Amino acid sequence: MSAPRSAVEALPDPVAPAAPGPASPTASRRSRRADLTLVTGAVLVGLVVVLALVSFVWTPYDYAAPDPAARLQGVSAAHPFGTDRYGRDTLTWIMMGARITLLVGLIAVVIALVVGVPLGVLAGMTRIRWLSGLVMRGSDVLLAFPALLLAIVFSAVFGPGTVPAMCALGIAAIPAFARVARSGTLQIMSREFIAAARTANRSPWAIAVTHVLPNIGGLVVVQASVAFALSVLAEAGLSFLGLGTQPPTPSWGRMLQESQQYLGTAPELAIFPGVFIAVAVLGFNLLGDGLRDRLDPTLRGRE
Amino acid sequence: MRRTDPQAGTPLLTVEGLTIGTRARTLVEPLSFAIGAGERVGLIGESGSGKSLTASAVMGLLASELSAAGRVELAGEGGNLLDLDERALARLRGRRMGMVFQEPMSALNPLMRVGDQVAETMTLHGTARGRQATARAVELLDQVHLPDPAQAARAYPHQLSGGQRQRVMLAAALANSPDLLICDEPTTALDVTVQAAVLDLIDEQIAARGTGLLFITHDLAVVARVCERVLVMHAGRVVESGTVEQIFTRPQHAYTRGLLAASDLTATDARGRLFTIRTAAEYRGPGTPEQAEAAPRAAESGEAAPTEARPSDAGEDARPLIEIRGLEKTYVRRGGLFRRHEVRALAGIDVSVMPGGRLGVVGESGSGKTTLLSILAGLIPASAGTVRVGDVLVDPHDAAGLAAMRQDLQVVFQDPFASLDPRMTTEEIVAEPLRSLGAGSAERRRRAAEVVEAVGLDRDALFRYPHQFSGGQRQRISIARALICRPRILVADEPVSALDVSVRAQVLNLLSDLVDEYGLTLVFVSHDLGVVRHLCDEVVVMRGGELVEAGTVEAVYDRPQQEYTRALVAATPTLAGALAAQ
Repeated sequence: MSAPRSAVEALPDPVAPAAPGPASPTASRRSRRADLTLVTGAVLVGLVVVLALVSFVWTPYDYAAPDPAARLQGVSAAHPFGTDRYGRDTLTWIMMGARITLLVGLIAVVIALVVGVPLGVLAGMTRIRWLSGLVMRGSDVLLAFPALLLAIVFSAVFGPGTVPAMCALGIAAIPAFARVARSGTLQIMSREFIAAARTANRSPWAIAVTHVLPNIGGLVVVQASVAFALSVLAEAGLSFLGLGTQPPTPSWGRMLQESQQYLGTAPELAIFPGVFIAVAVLGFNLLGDGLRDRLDPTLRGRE
Repeated sequence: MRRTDPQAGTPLLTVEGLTIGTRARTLVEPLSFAIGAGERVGLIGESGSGKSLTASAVMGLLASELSAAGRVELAGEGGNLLDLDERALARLRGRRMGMVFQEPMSALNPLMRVGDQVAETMTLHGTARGRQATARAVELLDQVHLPDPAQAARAYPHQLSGGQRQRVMLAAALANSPDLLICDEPTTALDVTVQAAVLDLIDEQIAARGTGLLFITHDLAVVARVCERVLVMHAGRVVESGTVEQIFTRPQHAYTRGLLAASDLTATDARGRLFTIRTAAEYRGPGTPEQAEAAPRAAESGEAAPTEARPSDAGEDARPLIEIRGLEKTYVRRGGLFRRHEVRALAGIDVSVMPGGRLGVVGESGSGKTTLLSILAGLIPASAGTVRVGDVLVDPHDAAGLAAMRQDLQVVFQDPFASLDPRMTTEEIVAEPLRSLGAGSAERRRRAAEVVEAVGLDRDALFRYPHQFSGGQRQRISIARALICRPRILVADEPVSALDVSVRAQVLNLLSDLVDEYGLTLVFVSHDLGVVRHLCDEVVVMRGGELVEAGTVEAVYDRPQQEYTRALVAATPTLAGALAAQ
């Protein structure tokens, strides 16, 4: 039989692809909800980014200069977020801390992406069984290693600091990227346009670059934003333990740690860094969720 | 004996002024029809005509974003079905109205034994319960002619074939002897021989029960075979309705005439081309004697001319361009944890194609035709045997050989929605084969523009993305990509099976023209015997990985030597055949 598949049947839209007809209005409702998530995430992330950028040109006070006269002042007009035990302005520290937070997230994600995605695509495309097995079992082993543990090992070996922390978090995030890239690649490789590219005598390398990467881009972006959130949280945890960013560089995690002894008398010292860590993590997570719905391969094709 | 008078008594189902739409637009324009008790009504139309939506609205199964207005009445139920709430509708569905869907695999619960699924429709409506329902389910499975029904009742859907699953669906739909059966493309996903059996079964079962039938399909030959009255839908509107005979022999509306002409692959116009909606005015109707006579002649004369024009096969000794010898392919499947068993997809195939020949490969699903094609294109390795294309022995591990072979041999794929990269523009897609030849971007652009024009698309199509095109246009892009590096051989894998009839005729005409114009050798894989008959001059019939029969199209179709070929030819529904039977 010559068969217009029923999928295409239900809608008059002649270009409606594989998505079942009636799903289309659902898709639009879903995408509206996704847009809300996406916008909220983008606003929260944007807030952190703006704080970090502004800190390069202006901060309310000098972050490194203690002011003994203004110790533990609490929230006031002069110090909207209060001051710490040395009289340093908390808002200034939050702004400076945003830099480190974003830097750590960025570098960790870049490391994981640059290593993980090619490995995943390789594992997905290779016909050599043992090669893909090697890559995936290797990433399983790495996955069995908690990110924080790896970071602690790194700080023991290389000494505590921002750089070992970033590298450790990046390495720990490689398996997630490799897995996402591999499953995306496997899906794309089974599509007919890959067979078409092969009959056009395109090399595997060209297929990877022109067909596979653009089509798994969405998945990778989503994974990147989730990994960013995880890195932000992990960096705060490491700095809290004293294994991440070292003094005098401001970091939200260390601010939390330093606020511990004043929890009763000056809770704002813990609240503000805590809130901003939450904002950053939530922001990146929402951004990831929103992007996932936006770039979902099952909804895609009609963009 | 099939005929019942629709005017007798009140009709079983009355639909009046049914409109379906989203908030933004109307998908089905006001629509009215009635089905008498025991009457068989066909609803035909192409994708997007609104025929499935109409059926969903009658069953109360519309997606929540769509709304329906108008009246739908079922005899014996007071009031408008559209006003009923979900609980009231659920009481009607499966008891007074049954439905059979297109895809039997997704319509059955994969984790439930099929006997239980048939029994469930009875227990839900309280018509039978417990052991009685189970026994009745076996009885029903026997009625739909499943071999060993007691055993079949204990099987899971994946253990049954497509045709068997559709029989189970039918058994479930008929379990409570409904007054109305709605079938939505019930045989579209099935092979022709299976389709014939399932259609006979539907016929038999509803005749035995006096059930009214609303049969939705895009296939005119199927409608002519099953139904007595037909509604033709186009773009959300019923353009014509009448008895099968009226519609098929004296169509009034231009669209109906076009649809008929385009789906009749035995009829060709004065230039030996298939009719399209546009050229349908000359069409005389199915199976008129002079037309049937004229068709083969037109095809022959159409082929005779270009044969002389081809230089390759005139002087040289006749060496086949494609030669396949003793080809075997075995897949290893893993069943369970440690068991593995071998599946023989191809078991010793010998085929050769002369330069300029047009070979059709027909077979039902699982016959190995797609495997054959993948090996021919160098996509997968063979287990044994050789494939020679031109001077190249095809071997997936020989990159240089493949590169040479692929300049000669290009493929048009089946699914126009999956075979184009959604992230590329038409220009990039079409010019892709040139990139592996190292052509510069200016040359790529120039040749892409040329070939896109040759397949009948506008130049501005070059800068658009695949999702902006319809199925037929996408298939044109696919053909353009195959032709851009001027191959000698075109291999087509079911290139029109996903297209609507009217578009199918256009694409087949285009293929035929291009094969002549470019002097191509064609290998055309299809499950549709009619398409192959029109396009090819030689045909091989495959079944279960073996060649059943090979020969010229006339010989194989008109004087089949093998039992299987005969069954295949007989099972293929044709308009003329169905009308004659009526």
